[in-house]
Amino acid sequence: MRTSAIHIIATAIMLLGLLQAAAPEARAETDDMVTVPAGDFLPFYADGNSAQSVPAFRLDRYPVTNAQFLAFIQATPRWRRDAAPPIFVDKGYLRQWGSETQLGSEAPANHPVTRVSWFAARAYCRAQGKRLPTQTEWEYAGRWGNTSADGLLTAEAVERQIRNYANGSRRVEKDVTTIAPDKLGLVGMHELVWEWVEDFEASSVVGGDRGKDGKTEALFCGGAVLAATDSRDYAAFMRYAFRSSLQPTHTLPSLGFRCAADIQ
Amino acid sequence: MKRQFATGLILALGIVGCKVQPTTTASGPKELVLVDIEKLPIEKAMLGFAPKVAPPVARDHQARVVVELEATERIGRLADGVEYLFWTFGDTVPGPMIRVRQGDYVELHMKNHEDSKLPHNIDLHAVKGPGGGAEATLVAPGEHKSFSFRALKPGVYVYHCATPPVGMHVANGMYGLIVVEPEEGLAAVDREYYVMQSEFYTKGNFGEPGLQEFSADRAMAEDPGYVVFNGAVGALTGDNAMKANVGERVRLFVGNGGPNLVSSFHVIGEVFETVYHEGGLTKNHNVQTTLIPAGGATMVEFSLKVPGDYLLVDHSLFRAFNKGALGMLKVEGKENLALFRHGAHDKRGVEEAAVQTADSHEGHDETEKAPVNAVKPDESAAVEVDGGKVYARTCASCHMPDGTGLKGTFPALTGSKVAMDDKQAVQTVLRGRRGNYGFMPPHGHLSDEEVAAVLTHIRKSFGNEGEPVKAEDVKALRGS
Repeated sequence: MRTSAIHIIATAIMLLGLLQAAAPEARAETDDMVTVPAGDFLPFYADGNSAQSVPAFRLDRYPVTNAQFLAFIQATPRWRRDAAPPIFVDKGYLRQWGSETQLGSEAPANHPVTRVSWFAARAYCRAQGKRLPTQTEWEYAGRWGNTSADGLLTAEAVERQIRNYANGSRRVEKDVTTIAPDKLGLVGMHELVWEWVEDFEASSVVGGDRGKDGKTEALFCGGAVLAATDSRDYAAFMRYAFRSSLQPTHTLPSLGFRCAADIQ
Repeated sequence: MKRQFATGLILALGIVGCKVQPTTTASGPKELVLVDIEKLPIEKAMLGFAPKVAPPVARDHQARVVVELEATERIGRLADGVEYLFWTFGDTVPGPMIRVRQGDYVELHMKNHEDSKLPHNIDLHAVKGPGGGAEATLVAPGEHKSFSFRALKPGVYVYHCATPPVGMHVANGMYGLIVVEPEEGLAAVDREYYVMQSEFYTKGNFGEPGLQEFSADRAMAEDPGYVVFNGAVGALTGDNAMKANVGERVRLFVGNGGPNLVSSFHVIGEVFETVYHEGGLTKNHNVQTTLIPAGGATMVEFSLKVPGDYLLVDHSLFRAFNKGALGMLKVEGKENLALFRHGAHDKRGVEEAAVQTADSHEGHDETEKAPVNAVKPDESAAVEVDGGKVYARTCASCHMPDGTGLKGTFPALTGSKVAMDDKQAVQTVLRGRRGNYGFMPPHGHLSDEEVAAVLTHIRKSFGNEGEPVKAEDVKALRGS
C-alpha cells in the first residue's frame, strides 16, 4: 500500500511541477496566520525518545474554508472538480459542492472545505505562497495550544479531543468563526475536521519504508503502545492512525487542511 | 442493530440443514493438503448475525471464500434509555460470524463506511501471518481494502479491529467470531447460537440515561459501566431470549471481545457436557463454568433435559446482576419429574407434587401462577421519570420483564408484599435485601425520583394495584 502511494506521489509531483510552473508569488496575510514560537517537541512516535527542536513558523489561524477554496478554484480552473486529473483527486473531490463553481447548501462559505486531496490542498497552499505544515509542526502547534501552564497535555484536553474525533457520522463542519481559539490563537485544530499534513506519508513509524526498518508492526496492537511516547494520549493514537490510513488522492468528508509558512 | 448485507446471497451449492458427519478424533490430526488457489471454487460467505450463527459449512472440499465486512460508526441502544456510539463490523455488535472450512482460502474485503470518522482494520486470530491482516486492511473512511489468508487451523477465533488506539476500537464494539471447521466438520447438533461477551466503558455508571461517552480513564482502570452479551443489555433476554426444546442438543459459540475482562462463562441450571477449551479442539467434559479470555472464545455443548429458563451469566456475578451480563435460553418441552422437580418426591402422587411447587419466597405464592401483564398508566403527576424504563434496565434482568421473576432464584413482583409495603419497598431498592432466595444488591445509585418511579411502576404493573410511591418518601427513607 505504501509503495504504491509513494509511486503515485512521485509521478504526480512531477506533473504538478508542470501544472504549477506559474504559481503566484502571493504574500500570506499576517492577520490570518498565527506565529508558533520555536521550541522542543517530543513526537508521539519518536526514535529513542529524543525531543526535536521545532523552529518558529506560521500557521493559518483557521482551516481553509469553502469560500477560500472556491476563490482558488476560480483563479485556477484546472483544480475544478470536472478538470482535476484523477491522479490527483479521487472521485469524491468537492462532491458536496452544489456545482463545479458554486458551493450550494451542503458547503456553507465559512465551513472548512473538505473532500480535498493532499495534492489539491498542497496546490492551494502553494497558490497562497504557503505550504502544508509538516506532521511535527502540526502536532507541536496542536499540543502547544492545549497544554496546562506547566506545558503538559491535560487529561481534560485529551478527553475533549477524543470526543471531537470520535463523534461518528455526526456532522462536524461548523462555521470556523464560531469556535473559540486555543492559547496560541489557533481555531479548530481539534474541533472541526482532520487536517492534511505535508508528510502524512513519511512519519518515522508509518513511513514508506515500513517493513524494511522493522517498524511494520509498530502501529498495530501492542506495537503502537511500545513505540508511543505517551500511551495515555488516545487522541494522538487516533490522529496518527488516521493519517496512516490515507492515500494522497483521498477526498474524505471529514478531512480538510490549513496552510503553514516559514518565517522570513 | 442489523443491516444484513449478506441477506439474499444464495449459495449455488444450496445449504440444507446442518452438517451430519460426526467428528472423528481417534485418528489424530490429519495432514492438511492444500489445493492450488487457482483451482478452488469461489463462493461468497454467508454471515451469521448474533445470536444466529453462520450456517455450517456444507462442503467436503476447499473453496475460495469471499467475505465482505463494512466498518460503521453509529449510535445505538446499549440499554433502555442509554445510547452509545458503537463502532462496528457489519453495523452489528458483535460483528457477523464468519464460518469457513479448514484449508479454505479466505479473501477478506474490508470496507469503511463513508460516514466514518476514523480508519479501521481487522485482525483475525484465525490467521497465521503478521498482524492477522491488520496492516493490510487499514482502511480510511469511504475506502476499501482486502487481504487473503489460508485458514490452516480449525477452531473458534475472535476477530477485532486493531487500529490504534486498539483498546478503544475494541471497547466501542469492533469484534466478532470466525469459526474454522475441521475438514470432517463439527458434530451434528440440533441448535447453534452465537454469543459474545464484552464490556463498555461509559462515562456514566450503569443505567445513567442518555448518550454515554466512552471514558478512556475507566477503560484504563478496567472499570466498565456495562458487561453485556451481544452488544446491549437485554440483547439475549425477554423477547430476544434464545429458544430450544427438551431433548435437543445445543452448541453455543461464545466469544469474549473484552477488551479487558476475562469471562467466567456459566449457564445457570446446565452442565456443559463438552467444552472445547479456548475454542481449540481439546475437549473437556462436565464443566460448570469455563473461562473465556479477552480476545478468546469457546464452544460448549449440552443436551436439554428439563424445560425452563436457563440464564447465561458471567459468573463474576456483579457483572451479571449489576452490569448487564445476562442472557437467557428458554427451553420448552415436557417436564421430566424423574430428573428434576420442585419439592420432595412423593410416591403417592407424582403429578400432584409437580403442580404444588413448594418454593415460597416473600409470600406471593398465590398470584405467581397468574401474571397479568397489562400495565396501567401511572397516575401520580409527581412522577416524571419513566418507571418502566428504569425497571427495564435495572430490574427486568432478574425479576423478568413481566415481573414473574424466576422460580427459586428471583422473587416474582406480582403480589409481592415487599413491593406493596411502603417502607420495605424503598429500603429494599436502596439497600438491597437478603431473603431465602438469596441476595438482591442495593441500588442506592438510583435517584429518589427513579426509585419512586420504578416502585410506582411495579405497583401498577404485573397485575398489582397499589398506591404510587413519592420521591420525598424515598428521600426521607434514604436519610433514615
